[in-house]
Amino acid sequence: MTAPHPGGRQARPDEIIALRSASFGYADRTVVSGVDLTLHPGEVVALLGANGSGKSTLVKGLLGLNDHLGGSVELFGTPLRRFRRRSLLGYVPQRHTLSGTVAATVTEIVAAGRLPHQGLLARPSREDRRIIGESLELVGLADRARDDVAELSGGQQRRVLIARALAGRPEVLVMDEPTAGVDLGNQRALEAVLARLAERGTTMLVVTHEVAPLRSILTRVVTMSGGRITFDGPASRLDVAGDVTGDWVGPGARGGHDGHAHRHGQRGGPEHTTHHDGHHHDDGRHDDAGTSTSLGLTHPGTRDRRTHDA
Amino acid sequence: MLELLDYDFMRRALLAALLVGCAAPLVGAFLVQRGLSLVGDGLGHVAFAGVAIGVLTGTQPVWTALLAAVAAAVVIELVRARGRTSGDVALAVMFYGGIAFGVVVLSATTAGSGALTSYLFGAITTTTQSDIVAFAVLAVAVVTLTWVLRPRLFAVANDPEYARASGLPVLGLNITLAVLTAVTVVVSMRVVGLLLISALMIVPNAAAQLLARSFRGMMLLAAAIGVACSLGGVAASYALSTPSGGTIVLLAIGMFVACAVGDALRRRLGARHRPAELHDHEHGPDCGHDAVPHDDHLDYVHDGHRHAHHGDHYDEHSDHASVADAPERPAGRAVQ
Repeated sequence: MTAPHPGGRQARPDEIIALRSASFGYADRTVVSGVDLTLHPGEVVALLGANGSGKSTLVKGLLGLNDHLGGSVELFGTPLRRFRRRSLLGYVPQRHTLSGTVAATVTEIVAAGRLPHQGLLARPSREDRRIIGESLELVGLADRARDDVAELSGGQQRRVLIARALAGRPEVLVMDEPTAGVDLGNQRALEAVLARLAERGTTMLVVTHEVAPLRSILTRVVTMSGGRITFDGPASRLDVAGDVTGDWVGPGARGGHDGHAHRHGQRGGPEHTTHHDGHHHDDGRHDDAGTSTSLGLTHPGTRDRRTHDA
Repeated sequence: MLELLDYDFMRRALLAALLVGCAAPLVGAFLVQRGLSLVGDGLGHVAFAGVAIGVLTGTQPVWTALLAAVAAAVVIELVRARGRTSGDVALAVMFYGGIAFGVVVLSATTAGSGALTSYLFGAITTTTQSDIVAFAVLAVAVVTLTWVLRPRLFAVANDPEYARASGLPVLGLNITLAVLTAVTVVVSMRVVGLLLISALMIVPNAAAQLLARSFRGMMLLAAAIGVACSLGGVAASYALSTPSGGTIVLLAIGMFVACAVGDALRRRLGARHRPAELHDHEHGPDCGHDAVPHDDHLDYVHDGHRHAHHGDHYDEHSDHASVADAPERPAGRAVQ
């Protein structure tokens, strides 16, 4: 087998996530297939795609929340099947209510992040409490530690979930739509938190509908459509830098191989190629570009965030 | 009232009430959290079938009931884990099958209708010495295990998906909670009866929920309410010659109403604070406004006045001489 990514077939120890033609789904229903993806330490990668594009299924597959149906999946060099150190992945789910049925303090929610590190019968140690406090400090909620989570705004609740993931001292944060459904003020605060984490070198895989709030910290953008990866490259390739208000044509897709509905690159921009799986796709060769909305990606700056991915 | 303690059967009754009053709300807290408030009721129905089998075969009904309830609890969790909608109907069949079987079988035995009502509605004063020993062992085990596993049970009930992603044994913990519930149901059946046991698990939590600001606080308060209602209910049922189960549950509901009224009054008083103007940013380390410590929280100096977090908005904390206050605003102390 020829290796399109030289050396990429072997899981190098510095690969946090390494997928080779991986597929995921539920029981006998494949949702995501033929995915090649690697994530290295320090990278901040946005996973973009419309509802139903498979991006949530992909990250849930990595987290062991659905079925791995084919291909190779390695986490920290260990095949997914044998991977047990789940706390290395810090999951930030998309939740709108932190505790809908009972009272719970911010600390009580964040403390759940420490459980994988505690013995079954152990009480939280001083070290656990210190880490919980530190995590809250990082997301700017140290002064709300003892408040009932029901009193927090939507964006603050999102930050509580980030703190919970951080409390597990993970090697990578896996976030599902952290900025979705959050008002502008809270969105700024969230962006600041993510920027602070990026500054500290935190590796992040962020499922999102919108790249704009994250643009400054992203090292790479991956787009998905129809359960496949359609683009994998630097954010600057996704559209022309600085063009925030203009039409944003969807990201580059994978040539004619899977009938993509989008032009590569930006409308009218300089010709550039996207590189994926060792194939080069050139602008103009398949001018079957659809509309920019068929991927459902919002324009940068658009504020429709009432989106939920299954 | 102290002459209650002169009677052996009353001492046993009060001890049983103490144990049940503590155990039931602690387990119930997680049922409330998971939105399974009625599951104790269903387990009670199945336990009743176990009682009938015990009477029929001449075995101690406590143990056959325990066996039936624990088996049903495990089945419930497995059905829930599979997430089929048909599972709901299957559970209904199991619950009603249990109570129907119990009623038919018990009425056919020599036990008669007195035994039937004593199991369904509780007859605490008929508790025997051996019952009490078994109840005590089981109740202490339930309380200990529930409290020790509290952080894990909380995490799994709060966010099962996250719990699974972080490697917690979600199904195992859920089955453990179900078994704890089943044991609690059986331990409580002589005190409050199988038809009312769910109330003792849920109502104290509903009351505590209105006052508590943390899950831990809710559990402790619910246990305190449960113990107070159980002991008070047993004493009252002796004085008034009423059945213990119904008396205990009515007391608990009285507590709930009192807490609800208290909560409403508190909210009314709490409404006297002064919310700050709306602004579309979030105060925090990154907002650029100076943070000033104020008692147990931080105020942020915003255009010369102070904003403090209150619920999902900010309050004006303007009664500080150190900060230039807008003179047209009356000083008002925010009620925390």
